[in-house]
Amino acid sequence: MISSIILSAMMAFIIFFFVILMNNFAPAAVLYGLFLLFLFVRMTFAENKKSGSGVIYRRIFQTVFAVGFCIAFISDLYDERGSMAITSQAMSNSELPFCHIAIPQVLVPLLVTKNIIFPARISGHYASVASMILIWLVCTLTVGRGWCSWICFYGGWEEGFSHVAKKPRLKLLPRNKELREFHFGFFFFIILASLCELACIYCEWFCPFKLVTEFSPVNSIPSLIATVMFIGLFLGLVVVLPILTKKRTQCSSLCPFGAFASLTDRFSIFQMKIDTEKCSGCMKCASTCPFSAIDIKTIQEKKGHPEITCAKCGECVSVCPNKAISYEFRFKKNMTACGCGHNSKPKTAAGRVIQQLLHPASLFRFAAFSFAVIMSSDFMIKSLNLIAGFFGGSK
Amino acid sequence: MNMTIKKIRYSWKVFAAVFSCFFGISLFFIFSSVPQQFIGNFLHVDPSYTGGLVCSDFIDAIDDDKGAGGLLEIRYPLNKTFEEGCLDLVRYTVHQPVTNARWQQSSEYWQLSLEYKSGPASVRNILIYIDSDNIEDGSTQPLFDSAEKVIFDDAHPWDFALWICDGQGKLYDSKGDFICNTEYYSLNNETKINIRIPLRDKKVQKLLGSGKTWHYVLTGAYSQFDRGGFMPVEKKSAMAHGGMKNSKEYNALIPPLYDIAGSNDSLASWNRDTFEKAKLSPLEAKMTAGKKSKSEKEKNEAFINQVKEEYAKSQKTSLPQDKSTDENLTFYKEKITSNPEDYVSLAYYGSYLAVKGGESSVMTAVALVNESYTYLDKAAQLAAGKEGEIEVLMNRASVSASVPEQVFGKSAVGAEDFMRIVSLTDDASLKAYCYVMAYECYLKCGKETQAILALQEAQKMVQLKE
Repeated sequence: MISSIILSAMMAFIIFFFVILMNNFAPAAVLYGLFLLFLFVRMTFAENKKSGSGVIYRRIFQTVFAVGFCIAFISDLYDERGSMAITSQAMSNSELPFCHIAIPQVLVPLLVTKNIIFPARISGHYASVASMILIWLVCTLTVGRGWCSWICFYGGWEEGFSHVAKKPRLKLLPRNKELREFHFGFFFFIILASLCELACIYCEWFCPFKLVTEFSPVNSIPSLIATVMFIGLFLGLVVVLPILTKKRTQCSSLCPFGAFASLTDRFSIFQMKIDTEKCSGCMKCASTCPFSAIDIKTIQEKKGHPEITCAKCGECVSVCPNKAISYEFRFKKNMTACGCGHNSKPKTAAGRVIQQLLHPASLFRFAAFSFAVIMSSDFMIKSLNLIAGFFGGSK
Repeated sequence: MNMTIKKIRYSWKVFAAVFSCFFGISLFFIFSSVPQQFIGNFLHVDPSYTGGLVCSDFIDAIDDDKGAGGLLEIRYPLNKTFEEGCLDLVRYTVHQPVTNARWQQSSEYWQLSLEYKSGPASVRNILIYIDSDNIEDGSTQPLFDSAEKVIFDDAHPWDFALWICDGQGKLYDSKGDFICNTEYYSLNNETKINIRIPLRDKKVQKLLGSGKTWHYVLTGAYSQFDRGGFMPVEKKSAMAHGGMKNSKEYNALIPPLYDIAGSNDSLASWNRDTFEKAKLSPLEAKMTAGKKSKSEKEKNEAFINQVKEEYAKSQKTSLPQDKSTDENLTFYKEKITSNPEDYVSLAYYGSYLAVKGGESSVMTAVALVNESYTYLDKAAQLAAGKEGEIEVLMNRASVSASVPEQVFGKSAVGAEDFMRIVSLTDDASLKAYCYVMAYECYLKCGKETQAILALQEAQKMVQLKE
């Protein structure tokens, strides 16, 4: 209880500074700040009561952020260019927004050609190359692939659609391994193709989120084919399949950033652990995992952790009846507080509070939510202002 | 012993994890502009997206859009569309031809960039004549015969003429035959024009093999009713034509050109007695990109530091330094309370608030700087056109130059304020200082051309002073 209060107070401080103070106490900023604080407090107290019960607040945040980002981003495009279409002017002046999905596509060509193969601003803008690469670096070291489940403003669409239906109509669990193999195979194809073409192939042909951000005008056969592809992929992988399977199908099968983040997740501080002694093999975690990171074999072979594509969303923690799944430090190994191999509980109340505060689950949630607060503030405040302006104007 | 070392290592790792999660992420975002700028120095967008590597970059004198300048001066038409500086070419850039470009309208093209002091672009009639070292023949006569009233250097007859007007570019060969349309991009409030010549035509593809090209860049006023699109110059300016500053100097041989790349003096080289038109000399441009010299950057830095030191010395000798920030705040607060319209005190109060912000924690700093701008902006508004405006603007500009661009985005405001001070003062050393500060502000907000021009002006001021 006390640790939850302390964590909530610290998060309130971050929300106050980054959301309210940085936006000069604007009404939309105050409203959004209160909303964020509500989510975090509810999540923290819920987790304190029952491990994993706070995931609903993560889902709410990510879905709301995806919609808000789309509104704010499209509005920015209209302000800059007058449409959602990518103009030759923006392309020739290197003014395209650089998104995180382009990062893996530009890194290998960067090593070879020493140039960024994307027409974006290098710095001085929220969607600049330097800005996104730095955010990716810090994210990798802290939450790792937790970006996908806590912060990604595209993944929120699938997060929302995957919770529309009560039960899955299609079961992907037996195909988890093939799905992961396809995901990494596609990832390496994209990297090689981008290196050969010296252009971001995924952005050009496959990215389904062009439908909710920006796209090339349809003025030739190749651009028509690309348009059909991205609309089809959005409808199929972002809308229909998540509804049918209750999984994040685009994130777990197509997104190159997701595959890349899985590979670099080994550098993050946190990982998920499955206590094989507590695990009863009920497979509820495997059925629930939106990223197809837990197979039948993962449980049967008692691996002790989900597969490489785990995005640390916490859904498996919420469904496990034996509390066998938890967050832990990657560097923990067999270390315990006294180093003797036995778990020791603090004897004082202050010691128990500190232990709860320093628990990997608390730290991970705090880090991920901090990232989410800071990344989302400008977009959400802008979208709230636009919505208020729309309804205020229509009256 | 082993266990103790393991325990210590583990404790440090936990400490690092806790610090990163609780504070590290927030601190990263607060100070992200610093590593961003650092990384930005090492990253470059592939040149095929940005128009190709820069081969030659010519900075033209500012405020020389008067035809032949000191020799013969022509004035803009009276039409209000002709804003001051819209025909003043300040920078001309020749890029290396690009091949195998992705996501571009043409996969092979050659980009030329022109920058003007101000917009709009619709009033400009631009002709660029290009001579290539690997193409023989060429012409020394202009594309539109009597329209431009100039001829070209016999040593460099042009092979291609690029006509830019009315939002489009057209390429012609030396016989006057149309070759192709070019891509035309008007950027930065119509002050910058990027022209991309597609390298599809066989004649144009020869440029890929050239080592040097020579360019005549002519800027006139656009008129759709006149030959070649050049609005003529008569004795006096009117709505439909430009005029002479001194109508007695008018002659039918005067070229209707307001600015050319390079020295404008050649625009007065016509001869009335022999009916010879003005003969122009081209700019020589390499067709391969060279490396930027570090020594020039170091020279610039040394110059900037020298100007700042001299200004700081002059300020130390004139201003008392005995009060603390809080004392100054109290002092100016009392003055503002007794006279809310005292704009000088408002400016100093705002300034000292920002100084106090710099001495406080990050959170307080943001609040104080935001508050300081309410006073500084009000002071600037009240001081406009009055005595003490320089002092007020200097306060606001100095704060704008000091605060992080990523957080407050005030560098553009600061640059404008410094340039305004330059226009208000006659003090050469103050002008030099303001130009140098404007240079830094322009660089921060990504306006490289304006930054270079400001630095050049600062160098001129220092030379004048000496």
